[in-house]
Amino acid sequence: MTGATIVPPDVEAYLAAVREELADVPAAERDDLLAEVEASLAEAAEESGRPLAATLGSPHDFAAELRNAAGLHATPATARAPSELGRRVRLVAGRIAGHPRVAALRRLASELAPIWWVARAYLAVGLVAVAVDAGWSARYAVVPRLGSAEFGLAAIAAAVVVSVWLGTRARRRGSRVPRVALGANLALAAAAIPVALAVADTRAYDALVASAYSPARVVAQPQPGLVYEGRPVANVYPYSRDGRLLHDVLLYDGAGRPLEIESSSELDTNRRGVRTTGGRPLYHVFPIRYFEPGTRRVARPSAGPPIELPVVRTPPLRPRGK
Amino acid sequence: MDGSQLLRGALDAAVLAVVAQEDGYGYDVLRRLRAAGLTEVGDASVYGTLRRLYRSGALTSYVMPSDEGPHRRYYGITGRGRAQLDEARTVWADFSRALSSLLQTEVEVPA
Repeated sequence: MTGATIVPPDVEAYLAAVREELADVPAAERDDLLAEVEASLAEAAEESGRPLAATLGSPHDFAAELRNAAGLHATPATARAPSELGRRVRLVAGRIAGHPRVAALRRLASELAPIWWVARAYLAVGLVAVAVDAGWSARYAVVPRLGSAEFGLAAIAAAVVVSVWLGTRARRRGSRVPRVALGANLALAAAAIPVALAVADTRAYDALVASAYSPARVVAQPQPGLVYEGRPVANVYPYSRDGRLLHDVLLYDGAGRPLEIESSSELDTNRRGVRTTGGRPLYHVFPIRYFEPGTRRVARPSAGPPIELPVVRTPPLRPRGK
Repeated sequence: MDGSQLLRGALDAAVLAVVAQEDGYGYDVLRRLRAAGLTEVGDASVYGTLRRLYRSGALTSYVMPSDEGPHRRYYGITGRGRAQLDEARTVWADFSRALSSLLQTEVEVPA
C-alpha cells in the first residue's frame, strides 16, 4: 500500500516496536492497522522532520492508544471469521494494487478498456446464442442468427451501446470496482471459449453445406479409378454411331493412361475379367460384363443402360467398317 | 476536566464529520482535525478510530494509486456512517446544552 516509498529506517523501527506490542492481535487486523499507520507515519516524519518518538510518544504508549481507539481489546473471538478472510484478501489485493508495476498495468488496462467493452458485448450476445442453440449466419460467420442474421447484428449493436454506457458510467464513479461487476466481466471473458468453439463449429458445417451443392469445386483427395464429376464410374458403354454396343473396347486418355475402374471391383467374383496372354487382368476394357451367378455365361451381352442414342448426322471420319 | 478524555468520546463523530466533508486518507484526516482546532488528538487515536469505523461499516475505504509518492488508502463515509453522524450531532447538542447550563457557561452549539 505504500507503493514505492522508501520508509525511513526510524519509522520502520518504530513500527516494528508497535507491531510487537500488538502481537496478541489477530494478524489480519494488525496488518491492516499497521499498514494504515505506516503510510501516515512516513508522511508525518517527512513533514515534521523531528524524531518520531518525540511527536508520537513511545511505541508502547502509541500501541496502547492504537489498541484502545481501534477497539482491539475486544476479544479476538468476536471477529467474524468470514470477514477475517475478506480483510486478508483486501489487504493482499491492496498491496498488489499498490505495486508500481501493477499500477502501470492498471493504467494501460484502463486505456484499453473500450476494446473490452465492445468485446464483452459481442460475447454476451454470443453466449445467449450458444445457450439457445441458435445457428450462426452463413453470410457473416461470426454473427449469430437470433431469428435472423440481421436481428443478430442488431442485438450485437445494442449490446455494444449498453456495454460502453456501463463502462463510462463505471469510470465516472471512480476506481472502486464492485464485486458483482468484476465477476460479470470475468464470466464474460470466460465465455469467449464456448462462443469461439461454437463459431468454429458452424464454419466447418457451412463449408460442408457449400461443398454438397457444388461438388465439382471440392478439391478432395484424387479418387482412385475412373471418376466422372466426382463420382466413381463403374462401367462404360461405348456405342458406335449406328447404335451398336461395342465390346471389349480399351479406353485411354490423351496422355496414354488407361482409364481403369477402381480395382476393388475385382472383388466381384461374377465379373467377367479380361486378361492378357500373360494372365494380367485389365481394368480398362469396357463394357464390364457379369456372369450369371454360378456360371461362366453372360446372360445378355448387349445389355446397356436405358438411353436413347442420338442419331449422328456428321459425316464419318472414314468409311464404316474397321 | 481533561480535554483529551472528553475528546475520545467525541472522536468518532469528529472523524465522521471530517470524512463526510471529503474523503481522506489517514494522515490527511489527522491534519484536518488538528486544523479544526482539535490539537489534543493523538495520531494513534485517529488511525485506530478510522479502522474501527471502517470495520463497523460507517466508513468505506479504497486505495488511490498515484504516480508520485505512496499509494494512499482513502476513507469515505457510508450511509450508515451518515446516520451515525446525524445521531452524534443530536447527542452532542443535547449533551453540551445540558453541561453548559450546569456549568453556567455559554457554549456554541453546532447546528
